[in-house]
Amino acid sequence: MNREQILGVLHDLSLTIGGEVSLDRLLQKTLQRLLFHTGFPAGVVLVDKRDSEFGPSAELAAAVGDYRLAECRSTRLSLPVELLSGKVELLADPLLLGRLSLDQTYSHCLRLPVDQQCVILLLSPLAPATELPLTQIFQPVLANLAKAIVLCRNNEALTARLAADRDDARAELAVTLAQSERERAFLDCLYDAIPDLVWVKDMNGVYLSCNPSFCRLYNASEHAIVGRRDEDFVSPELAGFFRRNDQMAVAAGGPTLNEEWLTFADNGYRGLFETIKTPMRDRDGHLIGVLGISREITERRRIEEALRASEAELAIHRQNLEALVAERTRALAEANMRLAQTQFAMDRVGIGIHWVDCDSGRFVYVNHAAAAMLGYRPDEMLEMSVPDIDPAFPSGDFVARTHDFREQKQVCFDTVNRRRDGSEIPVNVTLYYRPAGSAEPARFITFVRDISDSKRVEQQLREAKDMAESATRAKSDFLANMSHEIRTPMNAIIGSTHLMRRGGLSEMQSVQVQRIEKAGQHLLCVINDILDLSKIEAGKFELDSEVVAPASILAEVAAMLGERAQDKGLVLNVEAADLPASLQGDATRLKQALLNYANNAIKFTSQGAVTLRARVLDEDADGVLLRFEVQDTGIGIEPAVLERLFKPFEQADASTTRQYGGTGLGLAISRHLAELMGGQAGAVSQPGQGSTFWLTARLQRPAMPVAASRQLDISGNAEEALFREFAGSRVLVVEDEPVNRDVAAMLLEDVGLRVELAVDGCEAVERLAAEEYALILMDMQMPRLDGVEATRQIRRLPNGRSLPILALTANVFAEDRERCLAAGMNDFVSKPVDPDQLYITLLSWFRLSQAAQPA
Amino acid sequence: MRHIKLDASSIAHHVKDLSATAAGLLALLPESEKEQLPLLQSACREHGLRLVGAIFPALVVDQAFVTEGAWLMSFETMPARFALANLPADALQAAAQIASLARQGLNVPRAGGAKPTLFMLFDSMVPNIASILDGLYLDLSNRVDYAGVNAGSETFQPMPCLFDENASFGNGVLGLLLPGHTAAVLEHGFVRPERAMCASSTEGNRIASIDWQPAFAVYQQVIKAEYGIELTPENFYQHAVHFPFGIQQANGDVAVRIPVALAEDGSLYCVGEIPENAMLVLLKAPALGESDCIAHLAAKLVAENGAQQGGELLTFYCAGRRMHLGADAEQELLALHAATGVARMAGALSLGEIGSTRRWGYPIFHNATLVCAPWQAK
Repeated sequence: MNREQILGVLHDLSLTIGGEVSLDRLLQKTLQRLLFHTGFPAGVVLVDKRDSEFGPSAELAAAVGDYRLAECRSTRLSLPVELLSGKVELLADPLLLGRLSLDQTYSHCLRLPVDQQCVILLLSPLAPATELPLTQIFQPVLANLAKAIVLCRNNEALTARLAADRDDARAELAVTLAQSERERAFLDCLYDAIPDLVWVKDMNGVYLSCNPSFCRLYNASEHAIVGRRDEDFVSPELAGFFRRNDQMAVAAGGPTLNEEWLTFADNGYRGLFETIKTPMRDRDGHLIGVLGISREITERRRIEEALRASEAELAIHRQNLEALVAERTRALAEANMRLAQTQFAMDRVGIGIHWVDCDSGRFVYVNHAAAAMLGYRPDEMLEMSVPDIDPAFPSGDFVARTHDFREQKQVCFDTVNRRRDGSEIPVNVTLYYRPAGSAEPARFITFVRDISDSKRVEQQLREAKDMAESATRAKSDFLANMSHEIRTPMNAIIGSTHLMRRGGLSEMQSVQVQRIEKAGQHLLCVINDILDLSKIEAGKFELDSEVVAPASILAEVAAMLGERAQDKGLVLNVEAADLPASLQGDATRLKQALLNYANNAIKFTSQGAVTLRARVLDEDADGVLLRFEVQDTGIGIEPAVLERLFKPFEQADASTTRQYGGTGLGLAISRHLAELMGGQAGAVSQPGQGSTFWLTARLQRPAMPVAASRQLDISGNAEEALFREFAGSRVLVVEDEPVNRDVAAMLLEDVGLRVELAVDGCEAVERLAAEEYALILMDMQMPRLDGVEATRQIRRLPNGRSLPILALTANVFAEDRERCLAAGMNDFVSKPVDPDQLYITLLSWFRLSQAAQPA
Repeated sequence: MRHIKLDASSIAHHVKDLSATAAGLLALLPESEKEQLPLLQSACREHGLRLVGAIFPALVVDQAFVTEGAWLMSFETMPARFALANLPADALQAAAQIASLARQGLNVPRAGGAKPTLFMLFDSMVPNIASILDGLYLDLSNRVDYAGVNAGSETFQPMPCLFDENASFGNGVLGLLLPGHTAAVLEHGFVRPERAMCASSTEGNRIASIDWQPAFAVYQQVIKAEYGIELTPENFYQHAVHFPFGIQQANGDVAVRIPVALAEDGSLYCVGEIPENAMLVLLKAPALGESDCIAHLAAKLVAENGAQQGGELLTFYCAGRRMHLGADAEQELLALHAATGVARMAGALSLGEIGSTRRWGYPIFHNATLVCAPWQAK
């Protein structure tokens, strides 16, 4: 059995030795199996035995079963040469093993030399117990082990070299593969992602490859396309077209380009494609196929065509635009020129122009004139606001102060502006409010005019006017005084002649008195005409507004002149049909104007007739325009002279005055009166055929019907009526002029009235305080107390309140009349006294007073 | 060491009692009592006792094999321990993990500096324990002495046979670094075989072919020819325990490999690996009295640990050996008891044993052996 046991052990060891290619594993496994079989607890393999000056040593290549020795692996150990060298032997010398007894003390060792450089030592602290010859049975495997060690070393060297080569190759391969993979991935990605159609065909037109975009063209997978031809997918004609292009590329030897319309089978899309076909060659230069790349240019072509069309259109537009620009440039130049002219004019027009912001009052535009007016430059004023130049618009209150301007839109006012030097100038401002527009806020546009000169002229005019008025007043005063001073003695003269005639005269005396009366009347007429004209020219002539019966006026004029017409053998006609019964106007002045015409007509007519005529020219709700005419059959007048006749102091010729008399003022006064009454005056005449003098007057309709009770019947002889009705009544005559006092007294006494005299106002007041009177005739200008103030005091007396007080005065101006009435007088009788007029007036007031008396 | 009943009150009582002096326990349970394990784990957790242990086919209680109760062996100071479940299939990786855990325990300072014994409890279903031992010896070398047994079911069905105080697991190993000179000894006493053969195709613990023929067929022929026994798949294990394989060593020893299972393809499964192309010998298990096993064992115990008279002996007895010896197995226990003079023998039926038949020898995975070590609670 020992034979089989040994064979078993050797078999096991041989399997172990032959089964390992790694030297470490070989030594380790061999040790393990040796320990397994021998029962030795530990073993080492020592290699690279050397002898040196320090003694023999070896490297511990492997250790099993002793951890201390295992930790010394790969170190050199100095060991006894007796241990390292020698044949297979079981040693039992602990001293030899001392260097190896690190953890365990070994006393026995089975030395198994492998070759000259390598030895195996199996170590045990006890003697091995075995029946087998341990020193003999392992001999066969040691030689094999030596060979195996060599093989393992060679193998490891080769393996290491192979591994290094392999690693190098792998690394290189890895790098190449990685790079190739990246490139391939990049190309694949590019090939798949490129929107262009890409394909490769061989020389027979068989597809070798294509990308997904190309697959869409044939609506087939790459797998289905590769290996097939165009004929398998499209019509023979189109396939032939493709084939010819391929052949052209091959013939050209380089890329060729063509355009073609392609229809995609997947969705029917049809587009224009630009195809580049390039012949492909192998390394030897042999043609192997054609590479095709198609790029869609449908949109590009459309854009190109659109661009060409746009460019043409653009050229036209550009031409039009250039023409338009040229036109606009000209218009702009003209506008600029006009603007410059306007600006020039605005700066020199002498009117300041401001544009003012409505909210802040700041100037946003100021022309040169406006700035120069105040001593500023325009740019300086653009930093200012209205309150800086106009005290009327204090700062902080601009919006409120200009509120009305916004409402009224346009205002014009005078104000004062402050100059740079602090002085002020008067200005006239015309302001326009321009509301806010879409592009601009609200503005005030003001035109400012320096009115210093006009103010100065105005002042001069005012002063001149004042002077003229003063002169006029002086003239009026002079005329009034002259009138008063002439009338006063005239009153005495005329009154005296009246009384003389009433006292009975001889024929001779009567003729002389008549001469005195005519001279006095003529003088009075002259005075009256001068006064009237003077008042008219002074603008102080005022018309009365009273009830007027146009027909009565004609009748009164006819009555007043009837005697003279009869004396000359003339017929005096009155035509007054269809006239309004009553109107509102100044009957006296109408009568005066007609008397002027009628007097002239009688004067210049030697035979025939004089006709007084009136008719309505126009009427409305407010009034009536009347035309009065005086037609004669007299000598007539040259047309060239006609107009001159209505100017003051003008007559037909100088001889007229000498032949017919007159002041030459009558027609001028008549025209003035007609104009004052809203009408005109004129004449129509032919020499030898008579004349027609006319005037028009606009009379108002009366507001209320005239009360008949207020119309006193004064028809008939007033003198007789006074005597009959009021004889014995007490009349106080207040007159400072003794002659006039006497004339008045005699005229009154002549109609049966009882007359008492007072020399001035004071005496009149005193007398009235003591006496009762039926009426007072009151002169105006008297010493101590004039008639006006005396009347006021009398009116304050109990018996003076309703007493009729009649002014009897040479002050015949309207203002004199007004002063009398204002002081409380009832009526006005001018000097020189016309006895008939006096009696009519007296009768009128006696009757009124009597009517007012309680029954 | 206490053999206790595995009911709740007994467990509670003994664990509480032991907890007064012990830091941890080594527990051995028979397979029949495995359901009671959670009670034991719970009790240990309750009393703060560390626990390591394993489940075996039966217990060795003094001179008898018992399938009731449990052995509790206390440690005054709990030795370094580790548990490793789900061992890698590769033996070198498994060895490296075990060695790593063992090194952590070796780093803990030990009183007296004596070399500890790495006592390992493997799940018997781990197929490559011999190779793991080769790797472990390469790594740890003589830092430790090696001993151990396999636990599990004698039916060789997988089960979680290893445990600590928290969990049970299989396909793994429990390790204890037992301090001091508690050198375990191992002995089987199998005689030298008469017939050699070649395991021409092996894989781990599976022998596919012997002498280039299906393994079972060769085994049948040899048993038939040598011993006149007709082996069938049904009676295979019953007879295999009497005729195990052996791997011969140059020092005259033999590593026993008992075939324990038969595959349909004629392969034989052993407890422990068979190197490919290994020269196997067919052994005939010795009958009681045919070997000097007990005498050698007792002598080595004395030689290594001194006289064991009155002491306590941790005793693991191979289940295959018991099957081979039958009722004589307990006679062998009696012989051991008598030879050692110990007061108590406590252990279990093992399914593979680890150790060396010689002091400081290479750690070898064995079958059919007795593994004994004096028990020292300290």
